[in-house]
Amino acid sequence: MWPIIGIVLAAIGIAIYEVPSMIKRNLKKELWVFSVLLIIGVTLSIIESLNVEIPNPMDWLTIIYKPFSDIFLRILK
Amino acid sequence: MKFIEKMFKSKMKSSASNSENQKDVNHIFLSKSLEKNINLIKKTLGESSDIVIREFFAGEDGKIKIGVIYTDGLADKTLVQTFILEPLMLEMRKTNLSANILSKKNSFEILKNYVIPKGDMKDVSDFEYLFTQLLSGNTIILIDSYNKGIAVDSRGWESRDVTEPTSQTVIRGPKEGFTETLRTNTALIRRKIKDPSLRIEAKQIGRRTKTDICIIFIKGVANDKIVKEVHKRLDRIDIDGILESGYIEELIQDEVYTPFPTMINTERPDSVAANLLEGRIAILVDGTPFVLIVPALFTDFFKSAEDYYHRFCFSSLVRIIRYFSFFITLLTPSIYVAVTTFHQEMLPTPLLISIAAQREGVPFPAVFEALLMELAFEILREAGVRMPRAAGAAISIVGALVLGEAAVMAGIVSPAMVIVVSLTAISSFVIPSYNLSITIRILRFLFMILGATFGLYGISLGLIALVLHLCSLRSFGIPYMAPMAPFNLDDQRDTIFRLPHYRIFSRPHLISQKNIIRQQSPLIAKPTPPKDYE
Amino acid sequence: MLKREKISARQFRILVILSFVGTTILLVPSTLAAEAKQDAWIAAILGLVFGLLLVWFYNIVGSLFPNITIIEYQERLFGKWIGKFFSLLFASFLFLNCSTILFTVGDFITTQLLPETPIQFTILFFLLVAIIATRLGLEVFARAAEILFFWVFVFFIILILFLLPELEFKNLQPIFENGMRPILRGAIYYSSYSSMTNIVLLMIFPTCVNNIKQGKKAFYIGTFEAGILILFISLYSILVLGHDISSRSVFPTYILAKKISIGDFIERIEVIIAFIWFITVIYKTILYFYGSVIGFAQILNLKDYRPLTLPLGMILIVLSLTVFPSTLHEAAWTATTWIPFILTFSFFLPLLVLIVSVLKKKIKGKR
Repeated sequence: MWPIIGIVLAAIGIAIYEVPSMIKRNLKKELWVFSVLLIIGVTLSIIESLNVEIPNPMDWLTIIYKPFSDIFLRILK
Repeated sequence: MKFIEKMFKSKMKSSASNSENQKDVNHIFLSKSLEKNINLIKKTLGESSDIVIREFFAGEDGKIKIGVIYTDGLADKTLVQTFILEPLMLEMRKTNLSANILSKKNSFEILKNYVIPKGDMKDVSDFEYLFTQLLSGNTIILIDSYNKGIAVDSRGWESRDVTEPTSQTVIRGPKEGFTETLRTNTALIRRKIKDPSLRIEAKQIGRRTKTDICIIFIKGVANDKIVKEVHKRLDRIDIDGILESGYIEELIQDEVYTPFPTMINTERPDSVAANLLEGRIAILVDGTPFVLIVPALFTDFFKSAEDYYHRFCFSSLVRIIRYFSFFITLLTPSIYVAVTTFHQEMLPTPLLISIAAQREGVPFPAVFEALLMELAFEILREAGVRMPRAAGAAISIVGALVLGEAAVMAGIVSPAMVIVVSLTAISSFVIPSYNLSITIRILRFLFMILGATFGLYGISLGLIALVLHLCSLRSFGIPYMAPMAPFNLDDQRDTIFRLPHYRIFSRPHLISQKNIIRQQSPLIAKPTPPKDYE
Repeated sequence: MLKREKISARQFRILVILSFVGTTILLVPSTLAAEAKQDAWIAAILGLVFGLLLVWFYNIVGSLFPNITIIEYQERLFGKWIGKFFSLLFASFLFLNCSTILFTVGDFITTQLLPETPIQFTILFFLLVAIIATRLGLEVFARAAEILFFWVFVFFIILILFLLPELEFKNLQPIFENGMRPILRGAIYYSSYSSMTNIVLLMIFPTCVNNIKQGKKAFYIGTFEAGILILFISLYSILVLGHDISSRSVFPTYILAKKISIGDFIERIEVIIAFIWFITVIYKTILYFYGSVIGFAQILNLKDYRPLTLPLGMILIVLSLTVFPSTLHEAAWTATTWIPFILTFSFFLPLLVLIVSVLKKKIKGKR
């Protein structure tokens, strides 16, 4: 419960800090990217704080690189 | 959001209209009628009791109507009487300047050129200038049927003597300090630097206070771009009143949201002269003995004037002690808190046992104890500054006894904590510049909190963040941490330690970018005493 | 186009050293000792040679794009879509690597210094300083590097000097006991952590260096100096602790510092090595974070990268907490997938860029 409130408050704080200056300088693209990334960040943080499994990019990479790593280990040994 | 903007806009409008009203009055030019001029003066100044208006008839046949106006208290009455009223009233009778001749020749010019034996005289043609001159202590002479007046310099008021500066004392060195009068201060600086390239450029800042400000620099040594920048920033100021150089400092500094000062302020003419010779620029403000020196870098706050008067070994040692004290005063409470809370294994065992024993009876955790003691010490320090002299002894006894003895005996704090606090306090007085020590006081609390939450890890990261912040500051465009970063080997001769004078042959590189060499090369300058006296 | 900040060759050299030493100083002596046993120091020398060769390669690749970063160049070279795809992969690689660095930090702090603090907060605080540095810009953190490196150097000298009484040269023998193979293995692992990860510097080099020729020299000198530093560390690690303890501990350099004992008084000052470590690792984090933020900003053609820092930081914390569920996972990753992964981005990708660029020029020349 508390972590989620903390995360949301932090996100609101970040938005208050960044958004006015972006609006003033008329940086529309940055505003879009910022909002998308912030939403992704908040979602991931909340999921993480609830201890739900997040797909781990390392696992994907291990699978993709498996043939290469096998070759590599054989060369070195 | 929008209605907040509207609120601000309406407030701005009303203040702008006020100033417009003022301006309307002051753009009036003098009229040819003396009567009208004097009436306008009386109306604007509202019959103030210290404005003296003297009308009389002068000239051989007494037909020239002249008005003399001065401010009692600001103008030297003897001067007015001897050099203005006497010549106008008495001397002129001895000449044959009758009204007829005067109307043919220009009586105004005659008065200026032949009658009034004063050095500083200016023409006055509009009321704004008239009032500024009048209220600065000068005397205004108005002649009937001429729409120009004369402002004669007649300043002379009660001011403090040139005494020892109270905030920056030295053991060896001149004991003169600046006073509140601008002219005295510029004179003190001129006495140190007799170079004709020493420029003193005056300004007036502040809508109502019209404070006189002087910018002093040595042309050819100071960086012209920085001089222009200083002018630009001072001209930008549009404020009601400037009462002290501190106002100017805040209004023209590079970064507002930093606790670190980016300008030196000093009460000593020799400091100012030394800095001018390095290529910096001094800003003098009338009404305060504190002079601003610009640009100022981090290492400049560790230098004191005395460093250059003592021998170089001693000066170098003292400077190293100052840098060391900087770290002590910043970090000691936080390290104490961090080590006793998180990293007890770092202390040698006997010390650990003794500290543990001391903290046995103390009800609070170390961080609370530390914050309490530091806060109490800050309160004591501020009280010491503001208290009346009479209560002085009482306060110091209270401070020593209460904080030291009684708090420990009562079991509120541990003796080790008292030692830590006193060490911190004493180290903070080693730093010569008062405005940097204020900064450290603020940062110390921040580090204490970091030490209490994350231990030495927090303090290390805090230090890294501090270094990052310091490197992001600039003082009038020059990186604050020069000459450490960007590193300049030549400038190291006078930062952390000081090499003998004959070896410091160049000015700081980034501050004075041309005319860097200030004396002959060290090989020639090294003293070579004769070998024998036979 | 993002505003170009400029740093001097000297500042770049210091960034090279800090980035090379980065996580190497804490992780590598253990790997080197595990693979090459008492010949770990020979592996360190070999790794240094590999590093210098790699710098030669990077200098050549860097000359292809003297005024833009590698990400912008890929777009120009491969065309808009393929270029942006490769750039996205590269920027994600930087981002992912940053999260592994943060994991290592959290691991070290939580096990050695602050066992009771939740790992999220330690990582959060560390990343916060890195975010501050990124937001302040390259010039600022390069200047700060000059100041902080001085302290790294001082503490390193203290470490070297104070450990002199503890050196036992018999720990070095027998030399070449197991032959070249283990030494080569160790050297490759060491390079992968140190010089190959310096690929991130191609986001700064050569665009942001004042004088490119001096910058190239600085790259060599920096790598050399950093290699000597690591050589000393791994040498001392064998000489003082012996290869057995070195290979078994996760952080042998920390144990090395614990061994300092002068006159029964100067003891327990391992915080010094921790301080060196904080500085080098935070600079690696800063460089990787800065590289990935600038990378994403350049891919999306943004005018200012600063608004991206905080949201990306948020994602990075979560990533660093999920990336390795435990140290065992990290060890498995290092032993298997890590080397091909880093080779792809720090060797094959730049090689591809080089080859395509040369081919393109030849084709243009023929026309």
